[in-house]
Amino acid sequence: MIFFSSLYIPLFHEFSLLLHSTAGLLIITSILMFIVTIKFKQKRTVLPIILISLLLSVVFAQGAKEIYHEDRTCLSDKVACPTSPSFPSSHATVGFALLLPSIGTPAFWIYLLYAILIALSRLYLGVHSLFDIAGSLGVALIGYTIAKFIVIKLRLVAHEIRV
Amino acid sequence: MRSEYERQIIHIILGILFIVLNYFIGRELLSILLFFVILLGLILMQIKLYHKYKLPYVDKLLFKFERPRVTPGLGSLWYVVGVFITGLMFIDFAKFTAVILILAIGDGFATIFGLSGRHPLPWNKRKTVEGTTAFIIGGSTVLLIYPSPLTFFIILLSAIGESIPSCIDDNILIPLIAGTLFFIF
Repeated sequence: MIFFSSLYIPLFHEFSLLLHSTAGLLIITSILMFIVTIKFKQKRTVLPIILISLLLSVVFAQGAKEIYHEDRTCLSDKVACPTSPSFPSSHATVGFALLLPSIGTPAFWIYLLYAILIALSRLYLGVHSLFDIAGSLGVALIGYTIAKFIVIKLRLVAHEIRV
Repeated sequence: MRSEYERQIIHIILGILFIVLNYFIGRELLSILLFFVILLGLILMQIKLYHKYKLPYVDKLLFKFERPRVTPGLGSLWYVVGVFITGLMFIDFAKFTAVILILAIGDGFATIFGLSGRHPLPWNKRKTVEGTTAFIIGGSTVLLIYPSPLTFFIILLSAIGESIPSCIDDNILIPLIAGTLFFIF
């Protein structure tokens, strides 16, 4: 991971910097979700669970940061080292929160690529470790589990959720 | 039916193996390892569910050990997820062990003995009094680590949670219940 964060990859560098800002992450995620939802007609099928999963996962990630309060060790000076706790990565949580509800749909591969790119960008910038990224998946899994429960109980989707 | 017994024996053994693995490689390495296993599992699940491709060795394994009429590989994946989340939650190895023992032995016993049970639970006709009792007895191995009334209370709540009909898989529900309670107390 130290090796990866010491590299300079031009296009990926710009992409990582764009995703690093909250506004950049929000805009890119929103655009991606909009395109995918329209393209694969997921407004009534996957979108409700994705939105709830995303919200819960981000909240849980912030909660976990406060509970574990793991100090961040930044491995490069590509960006100013954030002062917030490092475990888990909020950015990577967003990626995984989009990925999990899309299993069994054509959007899975797009969200998988996005989740991997976000995770790699955090490692590339040296602001997170692989363990922080793993924590993001854990938080997203909990968020998705509860989102699924809510969606099924409130009958927000008509189809069966197979995963 | 015999396949179900085999499945639960593997369920119990795997839980113990994860505990041993955590002991030797530590929480962080275990979490990273399981992270990649889960990602791979999600990809395989997508290939099976959406693309419906045949996967030579995977299909054979799933046919042998997975329950019929369920999404293939899902139970196994949720089990790994349950262990993964527990590993992330607990820095304390003893608490990790306690939760995994409840999942592995408690849930394993519940299925093994519950299958031949004759007294369905009032709130869930698909599960039996015998199975829930077996869960409590099996889960009580945790008392060897934390011998206290509170531990028994956690095991009891986990057993009740496992018996309630829910869309959440037991393999993730039990770690969430037991893990949250051990975390708080």
